[in-house]
Amino acid sequence: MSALHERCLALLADRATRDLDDAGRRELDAILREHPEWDDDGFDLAAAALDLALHPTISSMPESVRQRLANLARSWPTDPGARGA
Amino acid sequence: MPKLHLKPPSRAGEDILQFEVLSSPAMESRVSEPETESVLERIAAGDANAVQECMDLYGNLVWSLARRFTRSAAEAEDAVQEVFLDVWKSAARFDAKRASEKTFVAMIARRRLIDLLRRTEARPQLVPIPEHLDFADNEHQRIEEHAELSSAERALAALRPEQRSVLLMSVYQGMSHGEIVSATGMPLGTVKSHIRRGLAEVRKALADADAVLPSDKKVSS
Repeated sequence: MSALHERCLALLADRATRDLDDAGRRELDAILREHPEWDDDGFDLAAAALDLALHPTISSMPESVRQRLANLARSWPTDPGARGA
Repeated sequence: MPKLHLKPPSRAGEDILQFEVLSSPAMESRVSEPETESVLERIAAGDANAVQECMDLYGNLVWSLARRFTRSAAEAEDAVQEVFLDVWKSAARFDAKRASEKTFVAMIARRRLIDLLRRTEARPQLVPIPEHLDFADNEHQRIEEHAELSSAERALAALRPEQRSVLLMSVYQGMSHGEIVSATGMPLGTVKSHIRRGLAEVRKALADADAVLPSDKKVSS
């Protein structure tokens, strides 16, 4: 594995654990533009799985928030071309 | 779900928590559910009902994450909307072969909430690590989610104590790398290395979890 790939992995791990600052983000973006094949959310998925395992208690979303989200959901375009994804 | 038992330090000067995983009978008796098309796949296909269903399915999960990552209910409320917009936009990227839908939604939520923390220079609520962590045993949890979370827990338990401790501070307590440096006295490079290697082990465990998953829900490496 090259030093650049190692650096990319280090930045991806930082991204997964809230430690990627603006400079790191720019560096990661630049590396991934050069090597899109290294773009991988494996560390993010690992952190998310651990987060779910370690925080099993789920609290109910307040009804007011649910209503706002329902309004948002109703306005979500079903046409993929209109979503701006 | 297994129980993670955090033993107190056993030697003077040893500040790293120790763990053991106790198996749960429910973990072994889980049965598979009939497979249905994922709600995210339906959103990506333009199913308007699936957008609402996604909110119903994962609203409480995203709300709980948002409350943990934000300082107030008002901030959490705004964050939840941003998260769901991201989830809906990202629905086409969901790959059931790599992770369960729940883990994918949690990943999108964490990314957005971490961005929010950076923008506001806030920090998540610090939760002390309890002596015992009892993992949820939700009877309605889908089998692929159960296998994933069990694998993540086992990978965590198998880490070297200092790796596990640092990863817990990061993921469980939501501490930044700098805060972990201050709390442990470890060099920043060591903290980053422990986190990366710990995440790599969890990632590998998630990939290996395919042995217990239905064939169309396997996690690729």
